[in-house]
Amino acid sequence: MNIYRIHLVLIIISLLSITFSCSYRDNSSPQVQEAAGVINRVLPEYADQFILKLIEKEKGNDIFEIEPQNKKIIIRGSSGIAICSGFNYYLKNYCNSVYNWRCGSNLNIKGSLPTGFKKVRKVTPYQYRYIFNYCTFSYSMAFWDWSQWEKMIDWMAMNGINMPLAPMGQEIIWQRVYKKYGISEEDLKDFFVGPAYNAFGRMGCIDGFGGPLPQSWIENENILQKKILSRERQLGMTPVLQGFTGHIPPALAKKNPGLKFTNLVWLDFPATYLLDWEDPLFTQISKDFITEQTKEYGTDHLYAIDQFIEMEPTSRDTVYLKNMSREIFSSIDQADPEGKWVIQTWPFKTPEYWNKERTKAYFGGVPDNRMIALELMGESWKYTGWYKHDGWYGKPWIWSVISNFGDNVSMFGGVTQIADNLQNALSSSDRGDLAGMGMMMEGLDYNPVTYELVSDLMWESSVPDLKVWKRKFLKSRYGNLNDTIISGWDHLFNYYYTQSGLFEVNPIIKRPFQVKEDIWPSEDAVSGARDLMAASSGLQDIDAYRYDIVNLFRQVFGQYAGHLLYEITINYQDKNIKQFDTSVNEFLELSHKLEELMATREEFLFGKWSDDSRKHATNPNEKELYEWNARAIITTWGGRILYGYAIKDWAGLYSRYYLPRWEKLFAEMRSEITGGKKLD
Amino acid sequence: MISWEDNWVGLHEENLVSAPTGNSIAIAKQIWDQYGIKLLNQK
Repeated sequence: MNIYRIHLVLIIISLLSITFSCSYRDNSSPQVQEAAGVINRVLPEYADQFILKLIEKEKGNDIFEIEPQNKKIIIRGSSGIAICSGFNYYLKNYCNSVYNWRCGSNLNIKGSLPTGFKKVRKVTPYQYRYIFNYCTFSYSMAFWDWSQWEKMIDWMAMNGINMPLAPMGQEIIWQRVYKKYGISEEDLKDFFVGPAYNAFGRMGCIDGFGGPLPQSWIENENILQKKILSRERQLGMTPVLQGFTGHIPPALAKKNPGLKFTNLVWLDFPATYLLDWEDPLFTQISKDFITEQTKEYGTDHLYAIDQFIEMEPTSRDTVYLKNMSREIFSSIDQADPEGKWVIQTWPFKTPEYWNKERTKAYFGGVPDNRMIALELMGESWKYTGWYKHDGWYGKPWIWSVISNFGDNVSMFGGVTQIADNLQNALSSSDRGDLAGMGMMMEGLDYNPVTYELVSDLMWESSVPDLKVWKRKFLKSRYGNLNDTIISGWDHLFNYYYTQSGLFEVNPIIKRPFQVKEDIWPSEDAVSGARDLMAASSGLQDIDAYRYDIVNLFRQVFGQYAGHLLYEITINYQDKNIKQFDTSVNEFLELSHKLEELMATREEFLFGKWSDDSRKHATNPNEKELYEWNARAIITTWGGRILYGYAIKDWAGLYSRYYLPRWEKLFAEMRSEITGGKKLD
Repeated sequence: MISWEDNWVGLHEENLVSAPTGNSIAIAKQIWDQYGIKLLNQK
């Protein structure tokens, strides 16, 4: 009984502490309350040690201050996000801790909170701090429920994000809009794609693939989207909702003879329908959609519209392009006079079509203050567009990294390139209106270093010394550093994080083939593994360390499996059956051991992804559909061009998918060696 | 191979391991002892 009383008193004290510490100006500020909620979830045992206050922005930009006072920590911020960012800064810089719910946290704070520092004040130079790519909603988040979203939004707030893409729940809006045009829910069944393919339906690349999308999914996502938007807005974020690109259901074209549309083909998928901006229905549908969406979800006046992701317009005429973008903008403006068009610059990396003249014409149809351009791949100078396109022709733009494609599970990241290319942009007089920073990863990725760097840079007006930054990163991840850890990570930084893009795929997860190249892990990678393993006695209780060990060993010894596959090929060619069997067994033994290692972490579990998909089902048919979606997108994808694009190095797939395929090949090789049929 | 893969995609499995099991560090140590030292020596 006494225990319950003590708990009750503690809860009351805790609640009072949050309530009274919210703000000296406005105790009821929702943003302060939401920031307190984040701290409570991330660091519950210390939550009452923080006093949170709302302050004014500085010249329109977010600001936070951190100050110790009477053994407590005062965090002042100009928004819920700014307060959470201050909290994160304090964790990383003074508690040597980090919160990363997907790639391992380090929140092992011992004793009382550190107070031995002077007041810190940080102002972000960036008005916009963007996150997500349409693809993230497929490759990583397709089957998330609120519990996962809540953690993600906490992380976003702590990492300064104020402009998240939020395209979910749009299908229910389309149903209502198209009803007015005589298109029934039944008619839309070959239009909406399956849940894992949502990104590619919403970007107009494919129709109907992986569907039909059940009504229960559409309605449940509507509820989830409202929760997401509500939390994001309460923290001070301005979500980017969907706008109308012209992508229409086939039924609309069939039921309206004379409708002006073009067919666009993406890779080897059947054509989709793009309503011509010159057709009177274009503006009407766009207005209806934004109006209906605003009724359902509210608006922050930001609309994502990308017409030509990896596809080209039919006309090459600059006047046509300018009129097209003018009409699209006009349709936004008529529905929302404050509306801004948020556009990915990914298509404009293709100079064959999108030369300077055409791109300038397309951008020219929209007033400068009504469009925001997203530079997608800042870490690649080759695919960076701002210096080829006059700093995006007067439009405010956001420098982003994409880093990850298809949520590939591998160690890589252009840490050096991020620092160099951002500094190039910041110091260039031709950069135009560089107004933001962003993360536009296709998948949430397995390399926390990349995103920690980008989020830290969001609060800096210049790029810090990377050597110093790396030490801080490691300190936050492991608490304390010693020479072994530093040496180990120096190897890893040198090898994995000095080039952008995936460069080392685990041979085990590739489609079986005769491996004719002797693959070995690099010396740096092996030395890094040696040093990190040697540091285990002091670090093994830290979640971030355990994540890093699993991720690194998966990577290093997956490469060693490549050497074993090479030996199998040599023994097959030599017709040495004894050595062949030995090398096959060694390969299988290592593969099973790696699978056992990955099974210790939720991040690398196929069963988690599969189960998450099935949990959304309301009947056995839906279970089957969702499971098919979950399996297909990470293996065969669909069509033939994209096979393996989003392949996963996960436990559960080795024994069920990758190894049975290898074993089929080994059996055929063995048969040939022992006088059977020649391998095809 | 393609038909085997397409067939696999259409399977339904209820009892997959969906929660982590085992000790990451202990298993990593086993892997290191068995393979890592060999790799170091072959540098």
